[in-house]
Amino acid sequence: MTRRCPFADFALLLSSLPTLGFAYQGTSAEFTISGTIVEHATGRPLGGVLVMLSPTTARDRQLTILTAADGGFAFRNLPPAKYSLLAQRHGDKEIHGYQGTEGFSTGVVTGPGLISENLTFFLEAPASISGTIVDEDGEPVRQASVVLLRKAVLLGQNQVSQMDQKVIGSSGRFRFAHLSPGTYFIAVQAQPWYAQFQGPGTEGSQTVGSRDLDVAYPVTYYGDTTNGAAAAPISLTEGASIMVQIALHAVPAIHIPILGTETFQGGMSAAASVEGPGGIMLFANAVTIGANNTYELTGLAPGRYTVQFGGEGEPGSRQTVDLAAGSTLSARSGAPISVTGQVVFEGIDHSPNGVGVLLSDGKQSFHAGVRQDGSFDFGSRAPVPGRYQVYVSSADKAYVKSIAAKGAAVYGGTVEMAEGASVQLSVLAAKGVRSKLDGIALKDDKPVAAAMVLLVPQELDRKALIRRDQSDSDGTFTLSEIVPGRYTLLAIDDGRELAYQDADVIKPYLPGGQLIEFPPKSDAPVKVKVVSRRRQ
Amino acid sequence: MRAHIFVPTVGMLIRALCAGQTGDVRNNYSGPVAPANGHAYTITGSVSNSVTGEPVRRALVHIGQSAAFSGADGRFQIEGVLEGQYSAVVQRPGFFDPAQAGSFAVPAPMITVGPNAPPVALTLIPESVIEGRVLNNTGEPVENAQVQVISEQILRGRKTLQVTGILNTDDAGEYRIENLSPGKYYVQILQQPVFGWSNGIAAEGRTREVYPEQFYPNVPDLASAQALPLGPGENVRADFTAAPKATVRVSGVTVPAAPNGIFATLQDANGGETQVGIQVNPRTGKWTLPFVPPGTWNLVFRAQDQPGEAYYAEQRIEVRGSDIENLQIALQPLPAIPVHVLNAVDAQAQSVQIRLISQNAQRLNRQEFVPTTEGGKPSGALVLRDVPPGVYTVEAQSNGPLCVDSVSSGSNDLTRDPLVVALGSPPQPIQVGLREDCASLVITAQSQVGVILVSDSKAFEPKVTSIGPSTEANFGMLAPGAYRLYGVASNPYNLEYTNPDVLRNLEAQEIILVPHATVAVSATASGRASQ
Repeated sequence: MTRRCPFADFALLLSSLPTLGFAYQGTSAEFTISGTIVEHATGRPLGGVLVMLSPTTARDRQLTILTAADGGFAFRNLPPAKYSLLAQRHGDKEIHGYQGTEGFSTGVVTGPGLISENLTFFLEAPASISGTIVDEDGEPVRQASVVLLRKAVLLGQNQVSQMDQKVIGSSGRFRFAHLSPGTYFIAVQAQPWYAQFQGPGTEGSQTVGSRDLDVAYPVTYYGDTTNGAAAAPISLTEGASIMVQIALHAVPAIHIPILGTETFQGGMSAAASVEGPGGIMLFANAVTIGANNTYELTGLAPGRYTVQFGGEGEPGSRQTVDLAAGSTLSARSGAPISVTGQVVFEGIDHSPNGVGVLLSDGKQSFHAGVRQDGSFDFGSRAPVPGRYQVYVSSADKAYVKSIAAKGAAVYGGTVEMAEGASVQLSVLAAKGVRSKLDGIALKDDKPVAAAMVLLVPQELDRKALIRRDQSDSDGTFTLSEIVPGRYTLLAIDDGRELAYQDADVIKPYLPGGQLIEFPPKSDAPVKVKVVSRRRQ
Repeated sequence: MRAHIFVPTVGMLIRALCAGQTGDVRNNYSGPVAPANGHAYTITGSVSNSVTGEPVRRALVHIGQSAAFSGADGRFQIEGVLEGQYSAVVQRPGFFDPAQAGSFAVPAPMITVGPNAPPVALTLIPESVIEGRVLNNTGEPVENAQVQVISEQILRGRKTLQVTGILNTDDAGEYRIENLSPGKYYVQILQQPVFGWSNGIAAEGRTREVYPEQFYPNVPDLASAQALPLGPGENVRADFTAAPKATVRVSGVTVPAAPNGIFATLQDANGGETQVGIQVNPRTGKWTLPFVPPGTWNLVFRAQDQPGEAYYAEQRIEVRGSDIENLQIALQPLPAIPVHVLNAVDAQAQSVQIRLISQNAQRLNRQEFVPTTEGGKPSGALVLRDVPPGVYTVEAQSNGPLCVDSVSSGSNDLTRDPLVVALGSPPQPIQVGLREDCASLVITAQSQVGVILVSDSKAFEPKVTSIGPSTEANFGMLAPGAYRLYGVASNPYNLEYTNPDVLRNLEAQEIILVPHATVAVSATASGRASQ
């Protein structure tokens, strides 16, 4: 379809099924991928949806068409190959994969005897949450920052993550549209428009009549609570529109003197966050006021905060503390952690060039370079207390085989470091291979599409080694970047919202899986039996 | 009531005293402007909406070091204010303090605190709003359309267009731009691919369509756009209908590659510019403009290399129905234009201020260029850098002790003609001649008047000020010659005085300044300038 059309011809044009094809040289191009885009909640076919198709081996060679009024689409004259099939509704920022869950989708395979036509591609009806933020007088709060959080299983883990953030205007109204069904929370942070923050050394605060001007709004959640753990969940079903109202109440702001700033040369920065629902950290509107090298943290309601200090050439510190009138903070960490150690590469007597050791707790990471003799020292960039996954970074895909530590506790691939610890880390690493495992998911010897395929290490603690895919329309799958070792290969018919990183969740499935030693002796595709999802 | 200690910073002071600022001001200073004698008084007053006259509740009034909220009836009372003169500052979301209402700004009211002081009447100017909806030609909302609000402001006697707000439509296609001060506005929606950017490269057929850039009311360019006059507290609707338009893909390579990225704009015949999305490989210099609408365009590339040197290229393209490929774009460094100050006393170069002002009135945020010194050294030679091709007015003024006699570029007299900067030929230096026999003009007035002094020399930046019975204007460092003096009753800074048509209906005093003369004149406000 190359005719350029004005939009007036819209209906006319779409009355015929749009088709598009590619011509590949030297291969027979006789197959078709076709189907209907249907709204999941209503069964309504969706016209005008953008459908995208590309071979999985050449994703830049993408074909795009719009569905007809009856939701139909067809890509004809395709050579046999595996294709990625995607769709996007008008206005939706997200692109959805065919039978997609969390970025995994079912690839559509064309070839003799394979079914690639008359597919039903479901898209969920978009839902929305809108509402207003008001102050204690019932007036709209302007310049409030509204954060949308979603509780869901992400990468096999139950977690709350930030979906969106909006700074609202003078109407005090906000709206989040194009939402998937699920469980949401809303957090609001704002400052009273009349708040006045004064620098350290100022005696007392300014009051006007009965109203204190030295005030702050605590981070407030839907459900009118300032306690993240008590935030009220919003259950959003497919296609629903929910209206909420959140009221903010100003409280006297805290003024926390910051000690130990004398050595911060070119300035000091402080950021405060609070723990929201599910442990997610949310920035609070902290204000640091400084004069004559005396700093104070204000703009905050009393409460529990994680305060992070930083400055040029200073290690800074991160502390989780209860702050109230009379509290003080030190910008320097109590006792810094020292982390040194050695990386030994299996089968190599010296360390390759450009290797580094990375410690990450999922929120922040710390890095040290590895010297020729394999030693490393985090020096002043040592991590703050916490539990970290240990990684080896290098150009040729090195991976950690095992770790041991003096001065810190080791759990699987993670190391837990306490304040003031002097940690000696021994890392056994191996040069990686860009390795993959091909297989096919079967039930009663028939290929199964859309199954969740998991490669679970025998040491369940080593969660970073888990690999995942979704079987394609011919039952095939590919797992890649696998670290050598012993695993259980699993295929589960419905993997949606399965918290497979949780050992208790995954254990019952393991007996139904298949033990695998990687790399396998043969390159032949592995066959794995699909088991049913267990329902409590 | 306890004592209030409130320590203002210089920043607060400047913000509170500066007229023409918009937006909420967090901290305000309204300290005494005249010394107090120690007696404390209670101030009463009220706050009202300048448009409706209705009382404004919950406004925060600062007088001296004290403050109060107004009640439901708009009234407030502040106790313990020391005798003296104060400026009052009022705050309330949704309103502007009259001292901060853009071109409507008036000085903050002075309040005398003392025995038998009358109640204080304060006003707040309600904010203005532009809102509207973007629908496509089948009546569906256009979500995420970028809406840009452009305010027309007078800066240094020239109309300039400033982007004052940009936001996206919601899923109902609606937008609302708040917190606008009274003034004149244009509303624009920017070009947007119908199916989003992410599909730009691969898209075919209908999915290559865009909602084209357009101005209210559904016109393609600024030249035909309608200005929305926005009074205080007004809420104006500007709805759009956006019809999808087919585009083509234009691609090619730049030589050299643009390692720091590159910007592309499409210039129409009027000089109007549309920024278009570009995808570029910084290593190879290969670039693609995925969505170029049909038309005849001057395709302009702007790039910067690592040391910050600016590059520029132009290419005329005729976009019809099909893609344009393999365009070779030679990026050229923008020339440096030396500025020579003649007969300057030692180290006098810096006391001459040169400004190049683009004559392209269609461009947003009008471009101005000032010279920098070679190597960043204060004693270095003056050079104008990164000036793109175009036509410029050159203004030169001296801070003394000499005055500007001539401004030229080669044989081109810049006091008469504009400066044309073109690519390819190395530009002639700009030469500024100075003279010693400067004259000066002292202006007095019987009543409040805005004065504007202009000359026939295009390089002379008109001198503007406001004077009253107790103040005078003293313009020094004037080159001998003929000048015209205008007096206006309104704020002279809001007058487009570089436009001769605007000055035409005003009465002027012709003033001839002979060498070394100091001339005294009296100014009165004449008729209204034609706007």
